[in-house]
Amino acid sequence: MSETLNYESLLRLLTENEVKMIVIGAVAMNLHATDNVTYDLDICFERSSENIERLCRTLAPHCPVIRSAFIDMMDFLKTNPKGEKFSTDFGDIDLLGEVPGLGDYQATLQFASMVQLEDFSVQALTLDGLIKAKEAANRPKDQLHLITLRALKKMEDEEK
Amino acid sequence: MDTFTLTPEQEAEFRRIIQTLLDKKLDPIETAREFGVDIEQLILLRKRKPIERLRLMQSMAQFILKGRASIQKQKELAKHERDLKLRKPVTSVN
Repeated sequence: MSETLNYESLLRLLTENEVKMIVIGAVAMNLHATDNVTYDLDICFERSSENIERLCRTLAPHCPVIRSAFIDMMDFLKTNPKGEKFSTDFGDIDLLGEVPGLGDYQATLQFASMVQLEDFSVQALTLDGLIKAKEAANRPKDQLHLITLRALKKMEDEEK
Repeated sequence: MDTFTLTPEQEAEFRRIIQTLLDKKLDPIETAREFGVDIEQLILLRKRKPIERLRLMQSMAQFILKGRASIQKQKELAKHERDLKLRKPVTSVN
């Protein structure tokens, strides 16, 4: 596991290099105001050859595994929708081709919206998307997250 | 890193507790409050910008990671010192 964490820099880097991706998991929850702490960034990426190459080229200078086995990693990401976790200079990143309960990048995009992060923005799962994904995963920790997410959803609905 | 690992018995008990709470069919905010979620903290976090929330969480995670690394280092140092003491040759008495 990486000993440094800088999700902001990692997201900025991916955005600047035009990687098609959606922030999912605990960082997406955090963007919606949950109070959890996470030690990796989960993203769902578009599994086109061009995007995977962009993703690998962006991460390679900061990730020894991708740098040393570039072609193999590209092939791996193309063929494995469940993805893989990589250690980078900015912290661990989990690259998923599909989100349980939502589907691939295109399907997941329907449950995402742009979130402004200072001078750049990212696609991140909405509360509805997070709730659907957590219901599908249904591990004990997802049940715990669901309680908080549903409370936040209620607060959001009351504001409308 | 998964910090939420339960034994099968613990998981069954955990699911039972959650289900009991859900069966009460309370308002989601009340359910969360009853489960121990700090609703006031969520309200405060919602007032912040997403980038502020991200940075706050990032610094907390970094702090925890550094703390863990420091504890691990201290443990290794203590183990090393113990090993050295055990290896210390017994001085012969003339």
